[in-house]
Amino acid sequence: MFKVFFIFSMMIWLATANDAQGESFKSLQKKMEKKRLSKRYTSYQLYKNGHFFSALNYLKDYYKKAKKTNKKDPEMAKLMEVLLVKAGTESLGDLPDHMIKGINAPTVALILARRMYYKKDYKRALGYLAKIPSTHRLAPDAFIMRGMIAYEKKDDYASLSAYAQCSKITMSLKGGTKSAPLKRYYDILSQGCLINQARIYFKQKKFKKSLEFYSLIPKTSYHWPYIILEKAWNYYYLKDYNRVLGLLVTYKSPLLTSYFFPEAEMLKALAYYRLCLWDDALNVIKRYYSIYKSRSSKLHTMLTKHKDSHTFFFELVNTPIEKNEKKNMFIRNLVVMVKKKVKYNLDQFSYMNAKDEYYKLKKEPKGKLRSYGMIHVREDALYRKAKINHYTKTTFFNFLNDIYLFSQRLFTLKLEILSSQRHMMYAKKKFEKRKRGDLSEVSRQSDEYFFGFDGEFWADELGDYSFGLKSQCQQESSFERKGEE
Amino acid sequence: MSRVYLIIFTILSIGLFSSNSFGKETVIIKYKKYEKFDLGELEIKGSIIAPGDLSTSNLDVRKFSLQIYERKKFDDHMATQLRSLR
Repeated sequence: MFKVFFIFSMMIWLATANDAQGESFKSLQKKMEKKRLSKRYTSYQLYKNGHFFSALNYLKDYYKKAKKTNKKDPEMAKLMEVLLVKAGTESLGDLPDHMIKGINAPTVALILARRMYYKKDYKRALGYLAKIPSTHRLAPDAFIMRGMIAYEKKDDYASLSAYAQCSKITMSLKGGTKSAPLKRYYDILSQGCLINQARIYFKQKKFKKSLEFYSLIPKTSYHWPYIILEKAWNYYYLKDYNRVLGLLVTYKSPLLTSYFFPEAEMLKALAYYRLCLWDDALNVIKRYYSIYKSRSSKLHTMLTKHKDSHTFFFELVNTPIEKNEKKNMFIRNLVVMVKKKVKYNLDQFSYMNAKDEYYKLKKEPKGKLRSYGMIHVREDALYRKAKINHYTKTTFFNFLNDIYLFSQRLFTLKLEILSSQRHMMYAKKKFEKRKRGDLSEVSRQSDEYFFGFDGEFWADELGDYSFGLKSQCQQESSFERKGEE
Repeated sequence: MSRVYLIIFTILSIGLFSSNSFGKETVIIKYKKYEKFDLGELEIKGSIIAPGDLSTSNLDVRKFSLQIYERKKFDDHMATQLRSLR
């Protein structure tokens, strides 16, 4: 977990390393007491001094009152770019569109594009995205958004093209940096673009093409545990139900115990149902209700109790894992999943920086500048804390909703299976006796080899399993009903 | 004692000789062990609007199919990925 956090923190710092030299905080504060200093000048000096959040707040104040021509100041725009990397893009969340749209900075353009996207004003969003050059570090993010806009407009071809560009640009940016954490970050972005292409092909029902893109994601990727389920859906529609079951059993391995998806249980039951292995399907459903229901009840109680809290979930995710394990396995697993997310790490990094700057300001001599800084930086830190809290809370609630949603869907499947069993009974048919598991039932490519399973999970084999179950669907036989005994 | 026997004998003989079968034919009643009804040959007055055959050979079971969930697209995953961008 520390490794993940370290990667993302180093990535941002190394990308914008600057020697922080300028007027000291003490002298700047003294100057401010004697005469009025411009917000421009103060912001720049604070930045040079390493007080990034304070500098950004002064810069925001500058833009709030600046004339239209002053907003186009290239030096300030450059400063805004750097400060947004240090403090995070959510720092401009309190400024309305008209106040920042004149700022000629690619990061601001991305912020505005995102706002327009969520307002469904795709034309304007594309206009802002066009302002981000393809050599900029945010170019991959811009192309991801382009891809989504094209997808929303039902233009799959344009969407695929945008995601392909995203992968290309990300690889180019990766080649241009020597920083290992940045290289890994670009890898994550590039893989995200490949996965989205796979998802578009899935929607188009081009399942084999979709699987080709999923196969490009290495097993060491952060995305890999999530795409196992998506690959399984592709195999489901290709009617390779043994491969579906093999993929989903990967979640049982010790390495992936933190990853639990209710949808995976649904797909497992569905695969057994399609193979007409109704007893197995009913067992999956029974286990879902008996094991997961009790765990979800505890989670439900916790969420209901703290649903209005602005700090509980933040503290939960920052609690050591050993303490969470004692509470509930779901809570423990969800916390681990949240902590591995890119968004959480970026927000956490931003929060820690704000907190550090606050304590740094506290050590400075009292004065106007210190007071201003402490008030605003404290607000920034609390805002980021609330943001992490909200993100974690949303993840927990979505998970719980999924449990209930798939519980309902599994119940529908159970009714369908019971109906099929009754129909067979009335038609005086039954399944013949059969043996379970046969290599002849496994479909594999020419480069896939067969290894027997002796109760061990080998890391390099994870995600490549397949069952060898024979479908019972064509094996019905008639029988004479026996007399009542 | 002899008088009692005389009275009993008189009553019994009256009962025997006063039966209706005395001087008539003996009627033997036999019940049938199996009886068959051919419903097809029955005639009903009026127009027949329903078939005569009331039996059903196979139980006509109507199988209702419920809509089982099958994922069609990953729009929700794509939206989540976009929200996690900087």
